[in-house]
Amino acid sequence: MTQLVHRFVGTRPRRRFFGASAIIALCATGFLVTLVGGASAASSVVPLGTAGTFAVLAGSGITNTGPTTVSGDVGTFPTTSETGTASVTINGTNHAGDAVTQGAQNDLVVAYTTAAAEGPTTAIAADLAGQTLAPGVYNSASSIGLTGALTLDGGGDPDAVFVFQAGSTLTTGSASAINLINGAQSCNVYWQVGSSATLGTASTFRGTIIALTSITATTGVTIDGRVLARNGAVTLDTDTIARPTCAAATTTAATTTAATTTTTAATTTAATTTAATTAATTTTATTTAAAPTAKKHISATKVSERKHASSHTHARPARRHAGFTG
Amino acid sequence: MGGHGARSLALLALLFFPAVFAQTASAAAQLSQALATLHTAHEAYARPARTSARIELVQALRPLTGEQTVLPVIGATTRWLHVRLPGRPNGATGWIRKAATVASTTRWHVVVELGRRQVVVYRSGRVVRIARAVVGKPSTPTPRGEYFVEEDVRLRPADVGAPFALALSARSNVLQEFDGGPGQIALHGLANVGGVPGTAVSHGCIRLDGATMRWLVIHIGPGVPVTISK
Repeated sequence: MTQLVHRFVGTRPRRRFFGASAIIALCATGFLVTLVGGASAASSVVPLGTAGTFAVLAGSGITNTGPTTVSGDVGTFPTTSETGTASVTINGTNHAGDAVTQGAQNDLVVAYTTAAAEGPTTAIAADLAGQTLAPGVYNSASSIGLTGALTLDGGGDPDAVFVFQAGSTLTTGSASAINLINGAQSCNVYWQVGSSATLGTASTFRGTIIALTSITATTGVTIDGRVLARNGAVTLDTDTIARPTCAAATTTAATTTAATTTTTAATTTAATTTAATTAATTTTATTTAAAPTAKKHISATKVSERKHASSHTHARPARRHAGFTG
Repeated sequence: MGGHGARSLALLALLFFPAVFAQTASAAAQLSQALATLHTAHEAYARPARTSARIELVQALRPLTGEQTVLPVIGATTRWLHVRLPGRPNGATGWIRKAATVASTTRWHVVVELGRRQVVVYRSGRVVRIARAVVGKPSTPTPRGEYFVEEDVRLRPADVGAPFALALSARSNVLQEFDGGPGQIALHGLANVGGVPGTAVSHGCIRLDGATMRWLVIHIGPGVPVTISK
Protein backbone atom coordinates (compact mmCIF):
# COMPACT_ATOMS: atom_id res chain seq x y z
CA MET A 1 0.00 0.00 0.00
CA THR A 2 1.51 3.24 -1.11
CA GLN A 3 1.76 5.96 1.48
CA LEU A 4 1.17 9.47 0.40
CA VAL A 5 4.22 11.49 1.31
CA HIS A 6 3.36 14.12 3.84
CA ARG A 7 4.45 17.47 2.63
CA PHE A 8 6.00 19.38 5.51
CA VAL A 9 5.22 23.03 5.56
CA GLY A 10 8.15 24.70 7.31
CA THR A 11 6.55 28.08 7.54
CA ARG A 12 2.96 28.81 8.40
CA PRO A 13 2.22 32.03 6.58
CA ARG A 14 -0.36 34.44 7.79
CA ARG A 15 -3.48 33.43 5.93
CA ARG A 16 -4.84 35.95 3.51
CA PHE A 17 -8.04 35.35 1.68
CA PHE A 18 -10.90 37.39 0.40
CA GLY A 19 -13.82 37.31 2.80
CA ALA A 20 -17.25 37.26 1.29
CA SER A 21 -17.84 40.94 1.98
CA ALA A 22 -14.56 41.90 0.34
CA ILE A 23 -15.33 39.84 -2.72
CA ILE A 24 -18.78 41.30 -3.04
CA ALA A 25 -17.37 44.79 -2.59
CA LEU A 26 -14.81 44.19 -5.33
CA CYS A 27 -17.27 42.56 -7.67
CA ALA A 28 -19.92 45.21 -7.16
CA THR A 29 -17.56 47.91 -8.35
CA GLY A 30 -17.61 47.02 -11.99
CA PHE A 31 -19.48 43.85 -12.75
CA LEU A 32 -22.98 42.62 -13.18
CA VAL A 33 -23.68 41.10 -9.82
CA THR A 34 -27.08 40.27 -8.51
CA LEU A 35 -27.63 39.34 -4.92
CA VAL A 36 -30.68 37.21 -5.20
CA GLY A 37 -33.12 37.48 -2.36
CA GLY A 38 -34.45 34.00 -2.97
CA ALA A 39 -37.71 34.68 -4.85
CA SER A 40 -37.97 33.20 -8.32
CA ALA A 41 -39.97 34.21 -11.37
CA ALA A 42 -43.68 33.59 -11.43
CA SER A 43 -45.15 30.13 -12.05
CA SER A 44 -42.28 28.16 -13.51
CA VAL A 45 -42.33 24.46 -14.24
CA VAL A 46 -41.38 22.48 -11.17
CA PRO A 47 -38.49 20.17 -12.07
CA LEU A 48 -39.50 16.68 -10.96
CA GLY A 49 -36.39 14.98 -12.29
CA THR A 50 -36.63 11.22 -12.04
CA ALA A 51 -39.71 11.56 -9.83
CA GLY A 52 -41.55 12.59 -12.98
CA THR A 53 -41.95 9.02 -14.18
CA PHE A 54 -43.82 8.09 -11.02
CA ALA A 55 -47.55 8.31 -10.59
CA VAL A 56 -47.35 7.10 -6.99
CA LEU A 57 -44.30 7.73 -4.81
CA ALA A 58 -44.22 7.35 -1.04
CA GLY A 59 -41.74 7.61 1.79
CA SER A 60 -43.28 5.29 4.35
CA GLY A 61 -45.21 2.72 2.36
CA ILE A 62 -48.18 2.28 0.08
CA THR A 63 -51.52 0.78 1.14
CA ASN A 64 -54.31 -0.02 -1.27
CA THR A 65 -57.84 -1.30 -0.97
CA GLY A 66 -59.95 -2.41 -3.92
CA PRO A 67 -59.28 -2.33 -7.64
CA THR A 68 -57.01 0.62 -8.29
CA THR A 69 -55.42 1.50 -11.63
CA VAL A 70 -52.14 3.36 -11.82
CA SER A 71 -50.61 4.55 -15.08
CA GLY A 72 -47.04 5.44 -14.25
CA ASP A 73 -44.33 4.09 -12.01
CA VAL A 74 -44.83 3.17 -8.39
CA GLY A 75 -42.34 3.14 -5.53
CA THR A 76 -41.71 3.82 -1.87
CA PHE A 77 -38.50 4.57 0.04
CA PRO A 78 -37.09 4.37 2.72
CA THR A 79 -40.01 2.24 3.93
CA THR A 80 -40.53 -0.25 1.16
CA SER A 81 -43.76 -1.98 2.25
CA GLU A 82 -46.59 -2.14 -0.24
CA THR A 83 -49.91 -3.59 0.90
CA GLY A 84 -52.86 -4.50 -1.28
CA THR A 85 -50.97 -4.19 -4.53
CA ALA A 86 -52.50 -7.43 -5.78
CA SER A 87 -55.58 -5.47 -6.73
CA VAL A 88 -53.59 -2.66 -8.31
CA THR A 89 -53.20 -2.62 -12.07
CA ILE A 90 -49.91 -0.88 -12.79
CA ASN A 91 -49.32 0.40 -16.30
CA GLY A 92 -45.71 1.15 -15.57
CA THR A 93 -43.03 -0.25 -13.29
CA ASN A 94 -43.37 -1.01 -9.62
CA HIS A 95 -39.89 -0.05 -8.41
CA ALA A 96 -40.77 -0.71 -4.77
CA GLY A 97 -37.73 0.59 -2.86
CA ASP A 98 -35.04 0.18 -5.49
CA ALA A 99 -32.35 2.60 -6.54
CA VAL A 100 -34.67 4.30 -9.02
CA THR A 101 -37.11 5.06 -6.25
CA GLN A 102 -34.32 6.30 -4.04
CA GLY A 103 -33.16 8.66 -6.73
CA ALA A 104 -36.72 9.81 -7.31
CA GLN A 105 -37.09 10.62 -3.62
CA ASN A 106 -33.94 12.70 -3.78
CA ASP A 107 -35.29 14.56 -6.79
CA LEU A 108 -38.60 14.98 -5.04
CA VAL A 109 -36.90 16.94 -2.29
CA VAL A 110 -35.60 19.38 -4.87
CA ALA A 111 -39.00 19.59 -6.51
CA TYR A 112 -40.67 20.31 -3.19
CA THR A 113 -38.17 23.02 -2.32
CA THR A 114 -38.45 24.57 -5.76
CA ALA A 115 -42.23 24.62 -5.67
CA ALA A 116 -42.24 26.10 -2.19
CA ALA A 117 -39.91 28.88 -3.30
CA GLU A 118 -41.83 29.94 -6.38
CA GLY A 119 -43.26 33.40 -6.48
CA PRO A 120 -44.42 36.07 -6.43
CA THR A 121 -47.47 34.55 -4.83
CA THR A 122 -51.14 35.41 -4.72
CA ALA A 123 -53.03 34.69 -1.53
CA ILE A 124 -56.06 32.47 -1.89
CA ALA A 125 -59.15 31.76 0.14
CA ALA A 126 -59.31 28.66 2.29
CA ASP A 127 -61.86 27.10 -0.11
CA LEU A 128 -61.20 27.26 -3.84
CA ALA A 129 -64.69 26.11 -4.84
CA GLY A 130 -66.32 28.22 -7.52
CA GLN A 131 -63.13 30.03 -8.49
CA THR A 132 -61.57 30.39 -11.92
CA LEU A 133 -57.85 31.00 -11.72
CA ALA A 134 -55.30 32.16 -14.24
CA PRO A 135 -51.76 30.79 -14.33
CA GLY A 136 -49.67 31.78 -11.35
CA VAL A 137 -48.45 30.87 -7.91
CA TYR A 138 -51.14 30.67 -5.25
CA ASN A 139 -50.35 30.50 -1.59
CA SER A 140 -52.18 29.70 1.59
CA ALA A 141 -50.21 30.04 4.79
CA SER A 142 -52.34 27.30 6.31
CA SER A 143 -54.62 24.85 4.50
CA ILE A 144 -56.15 24.65 1.05
CA GLY A 145 -59.62 23.20 0.61
CA LEU A 146 -61.90 22.44 -2.28
CA THR A 147 -65.55 21.64 -1.60
CA GLY A 148 -66.80 22.07 -5.15
CA ALA A 149 -65.43 22.85 -8.60
CA LEU A 150 -62.26 24.77 -9.33
CA THR A 151 -61.49 25.95 -12.87
CA LEU A 152 -57.98 26.58 -14.12
CA ASP A 153 -57.90 28.80 -17.20
CA GLY A 154 -54.78 28.52 -19.33
CA GLY A 155 -55.67 31.62 -21.36
CA GLY A 156 -54.82 29.81 -24.58
CA ASP A 157 -51.28 28.97 -23.48
CA PRO A 158 -50.54 25.22 -23.31
CA ASP A 159 -47.46 26.03 -21.24
CA ALA A 160 -49.43 27.85 -18.57
CA VAL A 161 -48.21 26.80 -15.12
CA PHE A 162 -50.23 26.73 -11.92
CA VAL A 163 -48.49 26.26 -8.56
CA PHE A 164 -50.43 25.95 -5.33
CA GLN A 165 -48.59 26.23 -2.03
CA ALA A 166 -50.29 25.01 1.15
CA GLY A 167 -48.64 25.74 4.45
CA SER A 168 -50.33 22.72 5.97
CA THR A 169 -53.00 20.44 4.49
CA LEU A 170 -54.75 20.03 1.18
CA THR A 171 -58.27 18.62 1.49
CA THR A 172 -60.79 18.12 -1.28
CA GLY A 173 -64.40 17.24 -0.64
CA SER A 174 -66.57 14.46 -1.99
CA ALA A 175 -67.42 14.85 -5.66
CA SER A 176 -65.24 17.94 -5.93
CA ALA A 177 -63.61 18.57 -9.27
CA ILE A 178 -60.88 20.53 -11.01
CA ASN A 179 -61.67 21.63 -14.56
CA LEU A 180 -59.10 22.73 -17.11
CA ILE A 181 -60.01 25.18 -19.86
CA ASN A 182 -58.32 27.20 -22.60
CA GLY A 183 -55.17 25.12 -22.90
CA ALA A 184 -54.49 24.41 -19.24
CA GLN A 185 -52.89 20.99 -18.78
CA SER A 186 -52.57 18.75 -15.74
CA CYS A 187 -48.87 18.30 -16.43
CA ASN A 188 -48.36 21.96 -15.52
CA VAL A 189 -50.36 21.99 -12.29
CA TYR A 190 -48.47 21.50 -9.03
CA TRP A 191 -49.69 21.26 -5.44
CA GLN A 192 -46.97 21.75 -2.84
CA VAL A 193 -48.41 20.61 0.49
CA GLY A 194 -46.72 21.43 3.77
CA SER A 195 -48.17 18.43 5.55
CA SER A 196 -50.76 15.93 4.25
CA ALA A 197 -53.23 15.77 1.39
CA THR A 198 -56.62 14.06 1.45
CA LEU A 199 -58.80 13.68 -1.64
CA GLY A 200 -62.54 13.24 -1.16
CA THR A 201 -64.61 10.31 -2.35
CA ALA A 202 -65.56 10.25 -6.01
CA SER A 203 -63.67 13.46 -6.61
CA THR A 204 -61.67 14.42 -9.68
CA PHE A 205 -58.24 15.85 -9.08
CA ARG A 206 -55.73 17.27 -11.53
CA GLY A 207 -52.05 17.98 -11.14
CA THR A 208 -49.04 16.69 -9.23
CA ILE A 209 -49.28 16.63 -5.46
CA ILE A 210 -45.91 16.99 -3.72
CA ALA A 211 -46.63 16.47 -0.05
CA LEU A 212 -44.21 16.67 2.82
CA THR A 213 -45.95 13.85 4.67
CA SER A 214 -48.82 11.62 3.53
CA ILE A 215 -51.38 11.48 0.75
CA THR A 216 -54.73 9.74 1.04
CA ALA A 217 -57.00 9.17 -1.94
CA THR A 218 -60.30 7.98 -0.54
CA THR A 219 -62.77 5.82 -2.43
CA GLY A 220 -63.24 6.29 -6.13
CA VAL A 221 -60.94 9.25 -6.77
CA THR A 222 -59.84 9.99 -10.31
CA ILE A 223 -56.44 11.65 -10.42
CA ASP A 224 -55.12 13.13 -13.64
CA GLY A 225 -51.73 13.66 -12.10
CA ARG A 226 -49.34 12.25 -9.54
CA VAL A 227 -49.37 11.61 -5.81
CA LEU A 228 -45.83 12.07 -4.53
CA ALA A 229 -45.25 11.92 -0.78
CA ARG A 230 -41.82 12.74 0.61
CA ASN A 231 -41.90 11.30 4.11
CA GLY A 232 -45.32 9.80 4.59
CA ALA A 233 -47.45 7.03 3.19
CA VAL A 234 -49.75 6.94 0.21
CA THR A 235 -53.15 5.34 0.83
CA LEU A 236 -55.37 4.36 -2.08
CA ASP A 237 -58.88 2.93 -2.37
CA THR A 238 -60.38 1.97 -5.69
CA ASP A 239 -58.79 4.93 -7.42
CA THR A 240 -57.62 5.73 -10.92
CA ILE A 241 -54.33 7.58 -11.22
CA ALA A 242 -52.74 8.53 -14.53
CA ARG A 243 -49.43 10.34 -14.82
CA PRO A 244 -50.01 13.34 -17.09
CA THR A 245 -48.01 14.13 -20.19
CA CYS A 246 -47.80 17.54 -21.73
CA ALA A 247 -49.01 18.22 -25.20
CA ALA A 248 -46.44 21.06 -25.33
CA ALA A 249 -43.37 21.70 -23.16
CA THR A 250 -42.20 24.37 -20.79
CA THR A 251 -39.31 26.52 -19.57
CA THR A 252 -37.07 27.21 -16.63
CA ALA A 253 -35.45 23.87 -15.96
CA ALA A 254 -33.97 23.89 -19.46
CA THR A 255 -31.74 26.83 -18.66
CA THR A 256 -30.32 25.18 -15.62
CA THR A 257 -29.77 21.81 -17.18
CA ALA A 258 -28.28 23.05 -20.43
CA ALA A 259 -25.82 25.13 -18.46
CA THR A 260 -25.06 22.07 -16.41
CA THR A 261 -24.10 20.24 -19.54
CA THR A 262 -21.86 22.95 -20.88
CA THR A 263 -20.01 23.51 -17.66
CA THR A 264 -19.37 19.82 -17.33
CA ALA A 265 -18.02 19.69 -20.85
CA ALA A 266 -15.74 22.63 -20.21
CA THR A 267 -14.31 21.08 -17.10
CA THR A 268 -13.65 17.75 -18.78
CA THR A 269 -12.03 19.28 -21.82
CA ALA A 270 -9.78 21.49 -19.75
CA ALA A 271 -8.35 18.39 -18.17
CA THR A 272 -7.03 17.00 -21.41
CA THR A 273 -5.99 19.59 -23.99
CA THR A 274 -4.43 22.94 -24.77
CA ALA A 275 -5.46 26.38 -23.67
CA ALA A 276 -6.86 27.23 -27.09
CA THR A 277 -9.07 24.19 -27.10
CA THR A 278 -10.18 24.86 -23.60
CA ALA A 279 -10.95 28.44 -24.43
CA ALA A 280 -12.99 27.31 -27.41
CA THR A 281 -14.88 24.91 -25.24
CA THR A 282 -15.56 27.62 -22.75
CA THR A 283 -16.85 29.87 -25.48
CA THR A 284 -19.05 27.13 -26.76
CA ALA A 285 -20.26 26.49 -23.26
CA THR A 286 -21.22 30.13 -22.91
CA THR A 287 -23.08 30.13 -26.19
CA THR A 288 -24.91 26.95 -25.40
CA ALA A 289 -25.95 28.25 -22.03
CA ALA A 290 -27.70 31.15 -23.75
CA ALA A 291 -29.36 28.89 -26.29
CA PRO A 292 -32.25 27.26 -24.47
CA THR A 293 -35.00 29.67 -25.42
CA ALA A 294 -37.22 26.93 -26.79
CA LYS A 295 -40.08 26.18 -24.49
CA LYS A 296 -39.25 22.57 -24.18
CA HIS A 297 -39.59 20.83 -20.88
CA ILE A 298 -36.41 18.93 -20.34
CA SER A 299 -35.66 17.24 -17.08
CA ALA A 300 -32.13 17.43 -15.75
CA THR A 301 -31.82 13.70 -16.22
CA LYS A 302 -32.85 13.80 -19.89
CA VAL A 303 -30.44 16.60 -20.75
CA SER A 304 -27.50 14.88 -19.13
CA GLU A 305 -28.39 11.69 -20.94
CA ARG A 306 -28.64 13.46 -24.27
CA LYS A 307 -25.41 15.40 -23.88
CA HIS A 308 -23.37 12.65 -22.30
CA ALA A 309 -22.99 8.95 -22.72
CA SER A 310 -24.81 7.25 -19.90
CA SER A 311 -21.49 6.30 -18.32
CA HIS A 312 -19.84 9.72 -18.74
CA THR A 313 -18.54 11.05 -15.47
CA HIS A 314 -15.68 13.20 -14.25
CA ALA A 315 -14.41 10.21 -12.30
CA ARG A 316 -11.16 8.48 -13.13
CA PRO A 317 -9.92 5.22 -11.66
CA ALA A 318 -7.76 5.52 -8.60
CA ARG A 319 -4.17 4.62 -9.40
CA ARG A 320 -3.52 3.62 -5.81
CA HIS A 321 -5.38 3.04 -2.59
CA ALA A 322 -7.31 6.17 -1.71
CA GLY A 323 -7.28 5.87 2.07
CA PHE A 324 -10.07 8.32 2.83
CA THR A 325 -11.13 8.67 6.44
CA GLY A 326 -14.35 6.86 5.60
CA MET B 1 2.33 45.73 0.71
CA GLY B 2 2.08 49.53 0.65
CA GLY B 3 -0.97 51.66 -0.02
CA HIS B 4 -0.18 52.06 -3.70
CA GLY B 5 0.25 48.33 -4.05
CA ALA B 6 -3.00 47.68 -2.27
CA ARG B 7 -4.89 50.05 -4.55
CA SER B 8 -3.32 48.45 -7.60
CA LEU B 9 -4.27 45.07 -6.28
CA ALA B 10 -7.86 46.14 -5.77
CA LEU B 11 -8.12 47.63 -9.26
CA LEU B 12 -6.43 44.73 -10.96
CA ALA B 13 -8.63 42.28 -9.07
CA LEU B 14 -11.53 43.61 -11.13
CA LEU B 15 -10.18 41.48 -13.95
CA PHE B 16 -11.66 38.48 -12.22
CA PHE B 17 -14.94 37.37 -10.79
CA PRO B 18 -13.51 35.34 -7.94
CA ALA B 19 -16.86 34.32 -6.62
CA VAL B 20 -20.35 35.71 -6.82
CA PHE B 21 -22.77 34.94 -4.08
CA ALA B 22 -26.49 34.63 -3.73
CA GLN B 23 -28.37 34.57 -0.49
CA THR B 24 -30.88 31.81 -0.85
CA ALA B 25 -33.48 30.66 1.56
CA SER B 26 -31.20 28.15 3.21
CA ALA B 27 -27.56 29.18 2.71
CA ALA B 28 -25.20 31.62 1.08
CA ALA B 29 -24.73 29.72 -2.17
CA GLN B 30 -22.25 30.89 -4.76
CA LEU B 31 -23.59 31.83 -8.17
CA SER B 32 -20.23 31.10 -9.75
CA GLN B 33 -16.62 30.40 -8.92
CA ALA B 34 -13.54 31.20 -10.98
CA LEU B 35 -11.16 28.27 -11.43
CA ALA B 36 -7.61 27.79 -12.60
CA THR B 37 -6.38 24.53 -14.15
CA LEU B 38 -2.67 23.98 -13.72
CA HIS B 39 -0.66 22.90 -16.73
CA THR B 40 2.58 22.72 -14.79
CA ALA B 41 3.50 22.50 -11.16
CA HIS B 42 3.22 25.89 -9.47
CA GLU B 43 4.99 27.29 -6.47
CA ALA B 44 2.54 28.85 -4.06
CA TYR B 45 3.63 31.92 -2.15
CA ALA B 46 2.29 33.87 0.78
CA ARG B 47 1.98 37.03 -1.31
CA PRO B 48 1.99 37.75 -5.06
CA ALA B 49 5.74 38.05 -5.14
CA ARG B 50 8.48 35.49 -5.55
CA THR B 51 10.34 37.20 -2.76
CA SER B 52 7.61 36.34 -0.27
CA ALA B 53 7.51 33.17 1.79
CA ARG B 54 7.12 30.01 -0.22
CA ILE B 55 4.24 27.84 0.93
CA GLU B 56 4.44 24.71 -1.17
CA LEU B 57 4.80 23.29 -4.66
CA VAL B 58 1.39 22.44 -6.07
CA GLN B 59 1.65 19.59 -8.54
CA ALA B 60 -0.13 19.79 -11.87
CA LEU B 61 -1.63 16.34 -11.45
CA ARG B 62 -3.62 14.97 -8.55
CA PRO B 63 -2.14 12.03 -6.66
CA LEU B 64 -4.99 9.53 -6.80
CA THR B 65 -6.15 9.69 -10.39
CA GLY B 66 -3.63 11.81 -12.27
CA GLU B 67 -6.40 14.32 -12.95
CA GLN B 68 -5.21 17.86 -13.66
CA THR B 69 -5.21 20.11 -10.64
CA VAL B 70 -8.02 22.64 -10.64
CA LEU B 71 -8.00 25.32 -7.94
CA PRO B 72 -10.66 27.85 -6.97
CA VAL B 73 -9.49 31.41 -7.57
CA ILE B 74 -10.33 33.87 -4.84
CA GLY B 75 -8.34 36.86 -6.04
CA ALA B 76 -6.00 38.00 -8.77
CA THR B 77 -3.55 40.56 -10.07
CA THR B 78 -2.34 40.87 -13.64
CA ARG B 79 0.21 38.10 -13.17
CA TRP B 80 -0.84 36.27 -10.05
CA LEU B 81 -3.79 34.23 -8.85
CA HIS B 82 -4.84 33.84 -5.25
CA VAL B 83 -6.06 30.28 -4.94
CA ARG B 84 -7.25 27.75 -2.40
CA LEU B 85 -4.65 25.08 -1.84
CA PRO B 86 -5.18 21.35 -1.52
CA GLY B 87 -4.19 19.48 1.59
CA ARG B 88 -3.10 20.65 4.99
CA PRO B 89 -3.60 22.96 6.73
CA ASN B 90 -7.34 23.13 6.10
CA GLY B 91 -8.42 26.29 4.35
CA ALA B 92 -4.94 27.25 3.23
CA THR B 93 -4.58 29.69 0.35
CA GLY B 94 -1.62 30.97 -1.61
CA TRP B 95 -0.53 32.94 -4.65
CA ILE B 96 0.57 31.26 -7.86
CA ARG B 97 1.74 32.68 -11.15
CA LYS B 98 -1.05 33.00 -13.71
CA ALA B 99 1.16 31.68 -16.52
CA ALA B 100 0.57 28.05 -17.48
CA THR B 101 -2.91 28.05 -16.01
CA VAL B 102 -6.21 28.00 -17.81
CA ALA B 103 -9.17 29.95 -16.50
CA SER B 104 -12.70 28.62 -16.34
CA THR B 105 -15.81 29.08 -14.26
CA THR B 106 -18.12 26.72 -12.45
CA ARG B 107 -21.66 27.47 -11.40
CA TRP B 108 -21.82 24.52 -9.07
CA HIS B 109 -21.53 24.74 -5.30
CA VAL B 110 -21.84 21.84 -2.87
CA VAL B 111 -22.85 22.60 0.70
CA VAL B 112 -22.58 19.98 3.43
CA GLU B 113 -24.91 20.90 6.27
CA LEU B 114 -23.60 18.94 9.23
CA GLY B 115 -26.43 19.85 11.56
CA ARG B 116 -29.07 18.69 9.11
CA ARG B 117 -26.84 15.84 7.98
CA GLN B 118 -27.48 16.55 4.35
CA VAL B 119 -25.72 17.62 1.20
CA VAL B 120 -27.25 20.42 -0.85
CA VAL B 121 -26.08 20.97 -4.40
CA TYR B 122 -26.56 24.42 -5.91
CA ARG B 123 -26.22 25.58 -9.46
CA SER B 124 -26.17 29.31 -10.06
CA GLY B 125 -27.42 29.77 -6.53
CA ARG B 126 -30.44 27.49 -6.95
CA VAL B 127 -30.95 24.19 -5.19
CA VAL B 128 -30.58 21.34 -7.64
CA ARG B 129 -30.29 18.33 -5.38
CA ILE B 130 -30.50 17.49 -1.71
CA ALA B 131 -29.45 14.19 -0.20
CA ARG B 132 -29.24 12.86 3.30
CA ALA B 133 -25.73 11.99 4.36
CA VAL B 134 -23.69 10.23 6.98
CA VAL B 135 -21.32 12.75 8.57
CA GLY B 136 -18.51 12.53 11.12
CA LYS B 137 -19.18 11.33 14.61
CA PRO B 138 -18.26 13.61 17.51
CA SER B 139 -14.85 12.02 18.06
CA THR B 140 -13.93 12.29 14.36
CA PRO B 141 -15.90 15.28 13.13
CA THR B 142 -16.17 16.39 9.54
CA PRO B 143 -14.10 19.60 9.46
CA ARG B 144 -16.02 22.79 8.81
CA GLY B 145 -14.76 25.34 6.31
CA GLU B 146 -14.39 26.27 2.67
CA TYR B 147 -12.92 23.55 0.50
CA PHE B 148 -13.10 22.25 -3.04
CA VAL B 149 -13.20 19.02 -5.00
CA GLU B 150 -9.66 17.89 -5.73
CA GLU B 151 -10.55 14.92 -7.89
CA ASP B 152 -13.40 12.60 -8.86
CA VAL B 153 -12.42 9.04 -8.11
CA ARG B 154 -13.88 5.86 -9.52
CA LEU B 155 -13.45 3.22 -6.83
CA ARG B 156 -13.34 -0.52 -7.31
CA PRO B 157 -16.44 -2.44 -6.24
CA ALA B 158 -14.64 -3.86 -3.21
CA ASP B 159 -13.29 -0.50 -2.08
CA VAL B 160 -14.64 1.28 0.95
CA GLY B 161 -17.03 3.94 -0.26
CA ALA B 162 -17.62 2.53 -3.74
CA PRO B 163 -18.77 3.29 -6.37
CA PHE B 164 -17.36 6.82 -6.49
CA ALA B 165 -15.70 9.44 -4.34
CA LEU B 166 -15.26 13.18 -4.56
CA ALA B 167 -11.91 13.67 -2.87
CA LEU B 168 -11.89 17.06 -1.14
CA SER B 169 -9.17 19.48 -0.20
CA ALA B 170 -10.25 18.98 3.41
CA ARG B 171 -8.30 16.85 5.87
CA SER B 172 -9.42 15.44 9.19
CA ASN B 173 -8.53 17.65 12.16
CA VAL B 174 -8.25 14.50 14.26
CA LEU B 175 -6.84 11.78 12.04
CA GLN B 176 -3.48 12.74 10.59
CA GLU B 177 -3.35 9.40 8.83
CA PHE B 178 -6.04 6.81 8.18
CA ASP B 179 -6.02 3.57 6.27
CA GLY B 180 -2.78 4.45 4.57
CA GLY B 181 -3.93 7.86 3.52
CA PRO B 182 -3.38 11.40 4.79
CA GLY B 183 -6.73 11.68 6.55
CA GLN B 184 -8.37 13.08 3.44
CA ILE B 185 -12.08 13.89 3.59
CA ALA B 186 -14.27 12.76 0.71
CA LEU B 187 -17.85 12.46 -0.33
CA HIS B 188 -18.25 8.80 -1.13
CA GLY B 189 -20.67 5.93 -1.33
CA LEU B 190 -21.84 3.47 1.29
CA ALA B 191 -20.42 0.27 -0.16
CA ASN B 192 -18.25 -1.76 2.16
CA VAL B 193 -18.65 0.74 4.96
CA GLY B 194 -22.38 1.21 5.47
CA GLY B 195 -24.11 3.78 7.57
CA VAL B 196 -27.60 5.21 7.48
CA PRO B 197 -27.91 8.60 5.80
CA GLY B 198 -28.94 11.14 8.37
CA THR B 199 -26.61 9.87 11.08
CA ALA B 200 -23.26 11.02 12.43
CA VAL B 201 -21.11 7.91 12.53
CA SER B 202 -18.29 8.32 10.03
CA HIS B 203 -14.61 9.00 10.58
CA GLY B 204 -15.07 12.39 8.96
CA CYS B 205 -16.09 11.58 5.43
CA ILE B 206 -19.51 12.33 4.05
CA ARG B 207 -21.24 9.14 2.92
CA LEU B 208 -24.04 9.23 0.38
CA ASP B 209 -26.18 6.65 -1.37
CA GLY B 210 -24.98 5.24 -4.66
CA ALA B 211 -27.51 7.03 -6.82
CA THR B 212 -26.46 10.38 -5.40
CA MET B 213 -22.78 9.60 -5.90
CA ARG B 214 -23.38 8.61 -9.50
CA TRP B 215 -25.22 11.87 -10.05
CA LEU B 216 -22.46 13.88 -8.35
CA VAL B 217 -19.63 12.52 -10.45
CA ILE B 218 -21.55 13.37 -13.60
CA HIS B 219 -22.15 16.96 -12.60
CA ILE B 220 -19.45 17.91 -10.07
CA GLY B 221 -15.88 18.10 -11.32
CA PRO B 222 -12.54 19.16 -9.88
CA GLY B 223 -12.42 22.66 -8.50
CA VAL B 224 -16.08 22.90 -7.53
CA PRO B 225 -16.30 24.72 -4.18
CA VAL B 226 -17.51 22.74 -1.21
CA THR B 227 -18.70 24.44 1.95
CA ILE B 228 -18.94 22.34 5.08
CA SER B 229 -21.12 24.19 7.52
CA LYS B 230 -22.66 23.71 10.90
